Amino acid sequence: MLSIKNLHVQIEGNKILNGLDLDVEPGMIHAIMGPNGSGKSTLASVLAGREEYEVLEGEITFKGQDLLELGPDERAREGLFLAFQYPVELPGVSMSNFLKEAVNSVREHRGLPPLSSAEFLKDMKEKAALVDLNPDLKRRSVNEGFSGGEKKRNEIFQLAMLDPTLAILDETDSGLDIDALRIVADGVNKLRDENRSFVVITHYQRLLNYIVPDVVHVLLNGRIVKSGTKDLALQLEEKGYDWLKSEIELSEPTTA
Amino acid sequence: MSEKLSETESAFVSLHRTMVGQALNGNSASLVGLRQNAINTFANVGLPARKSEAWKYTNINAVLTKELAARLSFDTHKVKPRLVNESLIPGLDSPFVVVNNGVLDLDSSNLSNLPNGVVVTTLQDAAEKHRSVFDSHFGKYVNETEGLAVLNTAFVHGGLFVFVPKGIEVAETLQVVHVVSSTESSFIQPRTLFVVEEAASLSVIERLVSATDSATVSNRVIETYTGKSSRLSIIRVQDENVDSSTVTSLYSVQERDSYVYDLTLSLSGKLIRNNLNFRHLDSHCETHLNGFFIGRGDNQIDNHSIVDHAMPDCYSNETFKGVLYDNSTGVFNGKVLVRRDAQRTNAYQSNRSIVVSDSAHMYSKPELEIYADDVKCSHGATTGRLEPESMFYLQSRGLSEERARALLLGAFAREVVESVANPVVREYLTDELNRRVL
Ligand SMILES: Nc1ncnc2c1ncn2[C@@H]1O[C@H](COP(=O)(O)OP(=O)(O)OP(=O)(O)O)[C@@H](O)[C@H]1O
Ligand SMILES: [Mg+2]
Repeated sequence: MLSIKNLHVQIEGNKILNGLDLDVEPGMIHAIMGPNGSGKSTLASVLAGREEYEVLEGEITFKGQDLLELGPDERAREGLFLAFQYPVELPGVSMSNFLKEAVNSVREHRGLPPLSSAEFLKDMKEKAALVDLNPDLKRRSVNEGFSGGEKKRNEIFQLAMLDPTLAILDETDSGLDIDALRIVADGVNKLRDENRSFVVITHYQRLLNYIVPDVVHVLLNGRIVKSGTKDLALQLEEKGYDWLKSEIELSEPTTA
Repeated sequence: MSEKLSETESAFVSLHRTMVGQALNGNSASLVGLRQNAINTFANVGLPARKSEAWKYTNINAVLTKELAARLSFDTHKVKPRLVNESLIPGLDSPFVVVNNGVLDLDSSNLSNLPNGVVVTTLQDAAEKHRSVFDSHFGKYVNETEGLAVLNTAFVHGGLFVFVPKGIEVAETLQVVHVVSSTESSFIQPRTLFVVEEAASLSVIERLVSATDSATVSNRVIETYTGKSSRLSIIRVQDENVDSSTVTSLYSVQERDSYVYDLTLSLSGKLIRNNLNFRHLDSHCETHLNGFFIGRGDNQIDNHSIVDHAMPDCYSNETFKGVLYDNSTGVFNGKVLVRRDAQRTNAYQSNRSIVVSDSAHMYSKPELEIYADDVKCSHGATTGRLEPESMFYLQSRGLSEERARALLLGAFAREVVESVANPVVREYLTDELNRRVL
């Protein structure tokens, strides 16, 4: 599904990713954890096609295609979805108009006919219920004035609407209250199937109790330094990242 | 004639001499006298000099050439009904008038829905038949130091006069289609006077259109009088062909407790210059002025506004926005003057522009001059690109770059039109802006 090899990325002259490798197979859930500033959102942005990030080295293939050749909109139509850590407010851009256009552009790419207004409304209703999104929000401007938690639910709602094959969730849990966390996690679990993969970026082991990952990775200094089962997350919760830092320093004395 | 006159200025002065009594006919002594005074004033003040601050970015003399004087036209080629129909708002079953090259064309108009007592006629006719109204308002609000405005007065002919007498509220929106219909490159000087008496109301939407592809030049003047406790709303849609230039000088005065709404949408034209002047004659006036402009190619849109707060307890709110593509240029110079006696003034102004291309330019100059001490005033001006974060968000959901831009610019433009009171007009203009910002 997704294969990243030796990825080196910089932004504005700052090297952020330093030879990152990651393979995600269909139907799998990979969790990525790592300290603030370690490059998790950078990875997510590069995958989604944010232009400001410069890929210096390495390759990314997605469903057999060179992902780096595609623009952000083409990646979305190919089935890649990023739930933003900080969803953007778009005053004056109507949530439902925008989403209808997004859904139909994805459908067109898949050779499906555009949804009629009635079908679209029905679909919206169903998918909004999945994350218990307040129906009024669909009538507002995109994310404008949404609470932190509403913005996060709205991301998962859009995920459900766009039906991607690879969904990257960048700290979707932060900003959600305890009940909302469970609701959103349940929503994600309902969207799980053997053809859809997830990359779940999080700081908290708690989310992984609800969305149980197949693999947990630790991203540190722009590289995946350790991968393991869901127990690795428990270990991190307990010990933090320092023990890993000293471990890499031992194994790899040449850090730039 | 003074020796200091430029060739263009002299050409207009001589033209006036030859036209008096011929093309510039009319039985009204007051009109004849007004024209004569105006040309004398014009000979003194002349055309705007490039050196002047108000014309810093717009070289009007490149447009107003001496050849243009010879092309001053009152021609009234018959306007095609199709052009009129296309210029009217569908679903707005309201009275409309056609003004052809600055001359009211009643045959092409339909005024059947207007309440009794409301007068829509030419200025010549008004000068004779509605003399006291005409004499108390016509030419009274124009700034006599502005050469283009007095040049318009000097050749006033035909024009449009709309009078709403005391106590009459016109429910329907009056549509005015200003057609520039000449087949050669002509110069026209349309003139309009709106008089809304005490406790009356009027809403107008004007559309400026070209009947041909000829490069024409228009020097327009609009005077408006909004009486005590009255309301006047004017929307101007400037949509001439891309080779035509238009200067509009608007002079609005308001009596106590009155309300004025003004919206200028500059959608197409080579050079568009708007001089928008708002003045309060008494206290408790409310003035809303809004604008949206789209610059493309080498076009230039230059908006100058003055809100003159001379009286206490008045309110003004000004919002101008624009989108500039290609090599286009936008200018916003908005002055808010709060005179010493204008205590408890509330005056707000904002100018936001989006520059889509690297070779487009926006010059924004808000000017607040405040001489009263108890006032609330604010202004803000921003010019920038579309936010890359916003573009990325939309694109990451599968929208192409073009569609993402269209949604963001549509939203940016729509905000201005949201202030339009009539829902049919609002929706029409919203659709139009959505289409035109693409
Ligand atoms: N536009 C930018 N210019 C310069 N540095 C940047 C820019 N964007 C990100 N960075 C830097 O890149 C590093 C990685 O940032 P990133 O957002 O990927 O971290 P993260 O792992 O997602 O952190 P967090 O857990 O806090 O969300 C940080 O040091 C950040 O300051
Ligand atoms: Mg992050």
